[in-house]
Amino acid sequence: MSIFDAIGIAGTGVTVNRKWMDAVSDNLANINTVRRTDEDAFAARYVVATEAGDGRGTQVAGIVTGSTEGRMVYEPDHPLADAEGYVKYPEIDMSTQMTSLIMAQRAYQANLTVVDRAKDAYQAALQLGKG
Amino acid sequence: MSVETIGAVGGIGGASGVGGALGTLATGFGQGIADTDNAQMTRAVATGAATTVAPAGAAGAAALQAAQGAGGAQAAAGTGGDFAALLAGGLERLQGLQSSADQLAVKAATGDLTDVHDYMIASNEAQLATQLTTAIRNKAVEAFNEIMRMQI
Repeated sequence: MSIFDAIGIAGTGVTVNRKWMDAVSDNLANINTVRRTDEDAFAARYVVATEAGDGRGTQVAGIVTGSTEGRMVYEPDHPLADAEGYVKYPEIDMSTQMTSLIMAQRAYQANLTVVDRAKDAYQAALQLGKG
Repeated sequence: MSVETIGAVGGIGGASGVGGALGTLATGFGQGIADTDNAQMTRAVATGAATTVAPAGAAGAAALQAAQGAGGAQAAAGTGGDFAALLAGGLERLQGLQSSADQLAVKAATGDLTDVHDYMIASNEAQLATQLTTAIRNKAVEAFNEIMRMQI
């Protein structure tokens, strides 16, 4: 990792944003996951990015989970409803998740563009003096 | 090693078929030159800082670095032993690039690949390294032929 640094660094960015998209898809998939009121609600996953240990690029430091409190919804017909007719939905805001998805996707594309441009630049350098 | 090398060279495209060995060689070459560049770069940056305080210093340093890097490579080539060691190290690194691309290709085929871009990046790096190696080889052969044509 010393001659194609730009490509390797952009690659770490692609990986982090791929994981971010994974987390968002997990949150969206579980947006209607219902639990009993005496259980913890599904906790949203949030990816924490940090600078890579070797100073080249980025990496995922860890996954932080959101609140497990959830919101109570009155659905007496639900099989998981308690005596008062309530179930617990996760506290995930779909518009926030969709915004995160767009950001993750654009960042993913941006990093791939860096890979492409760096490759073009290296290839142009290899053509030096041949024109 | 020769068969493997040939296979490694080919692998650049994704399958890395023919270019493997050559690419490995070339990669090594490139690495050596890159290392020389790094040493020269620090010098160039230092020079740039001393002479230019303007914001254009970074660009200036880069240009300086490029110029000095070329000089450094020539100097390294001037001493046979150093150049051979440089070449060997570079080849080894090219081999590493090729084999990592090959491993990822196998993973992609077996369904064990978690990140698609990992393989694409590895194969692109191997391809670039191979192109660099062949470029250096071509230049070296060109220089050799030029000398052989000399009238005595």
